[in-house]
Amino acid sequence: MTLFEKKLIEYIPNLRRYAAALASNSHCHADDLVQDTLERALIKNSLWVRNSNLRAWLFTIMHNLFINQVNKANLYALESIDDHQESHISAEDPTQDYFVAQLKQQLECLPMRQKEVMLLISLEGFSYEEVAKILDIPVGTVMSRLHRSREKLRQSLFRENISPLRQVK
Amino acid sequence: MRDDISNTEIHAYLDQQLTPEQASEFEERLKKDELAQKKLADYQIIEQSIDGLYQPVFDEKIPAHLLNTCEKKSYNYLAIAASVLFFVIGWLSSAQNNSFNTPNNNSLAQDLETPAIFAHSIYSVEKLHPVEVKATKQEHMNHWLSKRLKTTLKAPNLSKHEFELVGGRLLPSTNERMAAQFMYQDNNGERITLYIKRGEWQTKETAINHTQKQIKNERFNVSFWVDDDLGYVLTGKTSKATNQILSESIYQQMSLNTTPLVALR
Repeated sequence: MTLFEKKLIEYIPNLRRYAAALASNSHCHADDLVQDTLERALIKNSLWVRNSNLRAWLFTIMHNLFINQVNKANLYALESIDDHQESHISAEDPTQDYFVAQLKQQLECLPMRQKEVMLLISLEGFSYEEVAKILDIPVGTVMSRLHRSREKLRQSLFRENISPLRQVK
Repeated sequence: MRDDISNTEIHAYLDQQLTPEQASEFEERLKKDELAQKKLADYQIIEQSIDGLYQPVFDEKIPAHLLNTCEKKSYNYLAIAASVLFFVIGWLSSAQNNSFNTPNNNSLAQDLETPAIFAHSIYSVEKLHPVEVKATKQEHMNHWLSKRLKTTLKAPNLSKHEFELVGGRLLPSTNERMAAQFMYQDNNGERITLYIKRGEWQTKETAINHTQKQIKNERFNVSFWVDDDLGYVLTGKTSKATNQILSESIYQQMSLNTTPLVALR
């Protein structure tokens, strides 16, 4: 196995986590997105500059593939929750469970562009500059999208008089 | 010193984008700004919850097909074309014998799945002698079956999923080979069997496949997979979801337990 392949395997858990979060309300399957990303990375292997940021490069590929798929089918307008996603919610603490369920639902309601920014920062801990490069947008846009998405979640999760949740079918 | 804390600063602090000096200056000003404190605390909870929500995916065992993708050494268009060709050939031949549910090769269906389901249908209904060696003699059973199958075999523990080991038996199988069958039972008397057979499988590692089979008006959910030279089949009337959970648990336990003692043949 080459060094490149070894490094690729190292980042599979990161890619899977991001894909699961990203694709949770679209019809594309998270692991298919990961698979496509890995295949594309192997084909474009020569385009990766040695010792440059491989993780950011992989997320760039995944972002482009995801956008293509979304554009192709305009998938993200559709709402559906994968069965297996539900199983990640632990049933041990009912209040925690409720909060997490709410969070999940609110995340799915976020516009895809805001969600991407927030997930790259929250889950992957990328810097604002890295996110700007991955998504090919100015740093200022990263910051405004980040604020908008976080504030939206905060408003819906922590408002004092929370209106009843919309039921998910 | 500025007084108002901007939203941008709160995010930058939360995301550790500030220099240590900027961060300590921010912390000073934060003490006087209750609204910013509240926002920061809320954002922190959201961050931690998002992390928690997707951590299980991160911790999961990497699916075999993704690992395989990375391990293809000479990855080129020729390989893709070849795999497409194989897929088409495979599809055509499987379409002919109507076993599209069993990808990759026929021997998995003929030499693993079919005998396993048959063995399940024979022994899972048995009242007096469901197993050859009872779970009370588990250590002896593991040792014996390991010796006969020439591998290290240990009945996986499924108590966590409310299935208790009943026991196991040795079975004849196709191609002059033997197989081991472990039987489990839950509180309602529902039985599942795990069939394990050593063989020269065309694929060294497959994903966990799920399918449904009908024998004499009874429907079974079947999960089967290959890990190295061992083929596994889990059969039961349990739901597909339960089967999936059980299979994953077995897969994980077995990959820790088994190491072939002697080379095949």
